[in-house]
Amino acid sequence: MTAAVEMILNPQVLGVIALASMFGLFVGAMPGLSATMATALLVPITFFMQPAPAIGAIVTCTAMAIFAGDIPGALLRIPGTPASAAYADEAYRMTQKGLSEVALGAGLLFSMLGGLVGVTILILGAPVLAEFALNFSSFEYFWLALLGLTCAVFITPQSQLKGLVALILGLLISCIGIGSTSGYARFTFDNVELTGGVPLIPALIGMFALPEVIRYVLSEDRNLRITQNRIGNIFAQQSRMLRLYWRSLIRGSLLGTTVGAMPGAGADIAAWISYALSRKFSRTPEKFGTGHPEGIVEASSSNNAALGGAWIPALVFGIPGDSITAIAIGVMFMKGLTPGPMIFLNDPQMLYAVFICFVLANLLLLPFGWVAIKLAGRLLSVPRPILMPLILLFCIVGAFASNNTVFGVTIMLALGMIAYLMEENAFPVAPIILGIVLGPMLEENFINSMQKTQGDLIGFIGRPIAGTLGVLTILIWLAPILLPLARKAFPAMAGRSVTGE
Amino acid sequence: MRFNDAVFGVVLLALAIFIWTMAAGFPKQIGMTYGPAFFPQVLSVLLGGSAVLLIYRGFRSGEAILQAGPWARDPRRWLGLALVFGALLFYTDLSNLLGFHITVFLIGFVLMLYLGVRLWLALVVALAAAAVLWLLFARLLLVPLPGGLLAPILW
Repeated sequence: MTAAVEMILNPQVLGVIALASMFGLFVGAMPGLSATMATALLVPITFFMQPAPAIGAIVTCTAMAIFAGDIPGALLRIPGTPASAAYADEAYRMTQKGLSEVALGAGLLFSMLGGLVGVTILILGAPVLAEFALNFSSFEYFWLALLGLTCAVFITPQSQLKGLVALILGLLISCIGIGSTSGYARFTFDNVELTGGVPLIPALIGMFALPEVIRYVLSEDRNLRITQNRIGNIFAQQSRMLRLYWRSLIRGSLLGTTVGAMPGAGADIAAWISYALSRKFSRTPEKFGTGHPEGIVEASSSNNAALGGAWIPALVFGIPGDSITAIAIGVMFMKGLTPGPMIFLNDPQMLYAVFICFVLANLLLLPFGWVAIKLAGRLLSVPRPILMPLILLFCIVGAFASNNTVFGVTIMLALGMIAYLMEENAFPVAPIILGIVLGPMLEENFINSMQKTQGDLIGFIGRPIAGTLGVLTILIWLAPILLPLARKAFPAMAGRSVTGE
Repeated sequence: MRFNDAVFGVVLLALAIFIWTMAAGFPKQIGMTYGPAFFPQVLSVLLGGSAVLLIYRGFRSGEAILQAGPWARDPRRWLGLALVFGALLFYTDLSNLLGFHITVFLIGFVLMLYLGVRLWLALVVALAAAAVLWLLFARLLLVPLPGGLLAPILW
């Protein structure tokens, strides 16, 4: 523990964290630039750092970015990141009523509190789960990886079929290069640089940053109109908020942590669900949509709590809870750290360092966020015709720097084009990155298991935990077929079904 | 740029068939049922199945094969798209020859001009960007960025 504190509390690491905070606030506050993009752009720099500051930078940057997304949501009605989309309208209506300081203050305070709840659950829950996970063998890990990928597909907000296609594409990308199971170079087309597989950093930048640049160049309306208004004391009303809406805080944080922990679903989905739940349980649901802070409180708590939640499966099983932790897992591998239960035994100080970073990030949110709100007007008026070319340049250098070859830039261009086309056609991009990160885990655990049992599939259901996980996974796959059948068989159920057909 | 789902379906089906046949050529390993071809082939079957569903859905939706966004009629937007792709290709092809500074400066400068930034401002920002990125990556993080034409005066 003291080693971990020393690891974080040295001036260099703290400096990195402070810079990452500012970077996260800036990117999060710029509409169109998401928290995932902030992480993707940060990775090439963390590549050259020690593990502790590298992970610390990612953790702080994302916490800041998710909060900062609230700022343009409230002031311009444009969410800075998808995680703020659920309540941007509500916050903007509060601004119109002259209550922007209440909306932004609630966003900031409850982001911090929700984030802290998420971290607490992470700190308490992860070691317990890890002890349990020590009994896992390749059979269980195979099912866990498959279960994770399954969730990622079924949580896709648009079309599950398109989520599945994106996932398969990611898994196929992970096949490229010399795999660890066979040592045979697959799909390299005699390209020497592909033998090591598709490099992760250029792929990330291509999928999460380049499409934004393309979209901007093709957009009709290139300048934001800032409704300049004075923002008063953001903390003035907040003790009243806390008294009135503490239930929302608890419900939002718990739900956010849970949703975050589910692979594939992150802060944005957590915020949507929490906002809807808040209205459902509210005593004054009719006030929602007219500039009412209750939903903002709940969804703000939820989206920041989701960040901590996403790290639970990431640290315990090596299965990312959202696209940001998928990137973080990639970074950990590059640093020679393998996430999983063994890290709790072998590298506890590393783990504590991650936890401390999380707490620190959420505590720093208050002062840094306050400054960001004060500077909001200036922050949002950074001219985008200058910003976007700079982002493109940063993408190029980042893609180049991971392998020091222009091949990285080519990969970024190719995947960026694919990601842009996919997003335009309602294919989600997050499952691709989950597929790339989890593909090797899925295949290796399957092949290793088969070698243990010499090709006998019974091991996948013969062991109690593996069997349970397997049944659960298969049930989720069958749900779209079974549910309509069940509804036909029991017509009474259909009336109460959630879809309300 | 919205395509009918069927268009994606056809492309993905072709991809699935291509992957299956390519994986079929992978070496079999003695004594192992599940060699390097197994995983990609399972995936190609899943991809093929999804592709067929997409084709079916696309036909049923009756949507146009391609619905271009409003930008498609504006040649200036096409120019912008070409500039972004051109910038990346320019970097991959010429950064070694010209060097990092010159390539990055030119990309930044041209793109900013295209986006309507005033000449002197674009000039200053692009120069500053090249300098800052060089300091950050080449000096601080020790990435061997290509010096190119400027190499003799840099080192």
